[in-house]
Amino acid sequence: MGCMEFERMIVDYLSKELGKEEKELLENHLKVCDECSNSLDEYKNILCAAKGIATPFPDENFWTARLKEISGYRPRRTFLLKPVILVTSLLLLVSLFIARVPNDRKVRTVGKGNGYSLVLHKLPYSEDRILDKIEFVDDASAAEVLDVLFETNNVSYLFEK
Amino acid sequence: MAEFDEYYRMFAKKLYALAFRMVKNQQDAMDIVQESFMKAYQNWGKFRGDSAVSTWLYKITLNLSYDFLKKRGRIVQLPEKKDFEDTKIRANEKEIMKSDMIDMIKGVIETLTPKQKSIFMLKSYDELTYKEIAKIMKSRVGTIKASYFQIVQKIRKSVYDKEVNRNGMHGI
Repeated sequence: MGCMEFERMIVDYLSKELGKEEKELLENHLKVCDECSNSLDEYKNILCAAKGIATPFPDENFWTARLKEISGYRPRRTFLLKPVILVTSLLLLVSLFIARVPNDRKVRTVGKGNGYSLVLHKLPYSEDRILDKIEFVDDASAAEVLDVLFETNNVSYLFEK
Repeated sequence: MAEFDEYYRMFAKKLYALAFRMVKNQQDAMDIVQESFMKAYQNWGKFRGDSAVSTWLYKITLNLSYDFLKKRGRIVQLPEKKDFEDTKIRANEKEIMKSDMIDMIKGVIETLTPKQKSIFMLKSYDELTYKEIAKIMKSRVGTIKASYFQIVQKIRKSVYDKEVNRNGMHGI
């Protein structure tokens, strides 16, 4: 092993990073090598001087005040935010879908399966025309009217006007 | 959170010193250390304990220091207390040499990259092991070891070459 390798070991030696065997090997070498002993002194001086570089520390009150500030800090709770956004978006989508359904379909839905076709058969108007007329009133009223009409089986007065 | 307070007391000053040596400004270092602990506080429950808390804290502080240096774009020089240093009475030759050596070392440290600087700080000031530094910097032990040697060797060459030159000049 040459002095180049020992130089690396010196740095590790000063950093307390050498194993027992390596340490012994280096110490034995240092006893007989002036060049490496000189290197050891120089590295030691440098590392010792580097530690002497001053760091201006804030006073003790600073540390206590900052700890209080940090401990008092409560991050905004965001874990509920995602589900709320998801549910709101879903509700919005559903209401948009409902709003887009044509009115006539709603009326048809109300009428079907309740004698609707029998009623239509007796009327002098086509189905589309009846639906056009029904659309002049709002959905809820139309549904209500149809329900009543299907019960009585008399729808003609609605279209006489 | 008593455990958090304990870590704060143990590491706040060390992390401040590290941040100060990186950014060279007291107020900025104070802000960085506060932000580091804020982040640690927010994520205290999420910390998985894969590494030591100290490693985690060093990592946060170093990353914030890097971010700060990136934002600032350059490393501001440490405000030198030249006036004080020049007028203070130097007791003996040994003290003069040490003071000059400190100035030289500071000069070399300023030429290092932020990562080299961190390795030097963590090893020589905080006395962390190569293994701990490798964990903090997400690097290999061998790489950290080689880098540290190169840095210290660079300082040595710079300091002792300059000394030889200066002595030579005195001789003329």
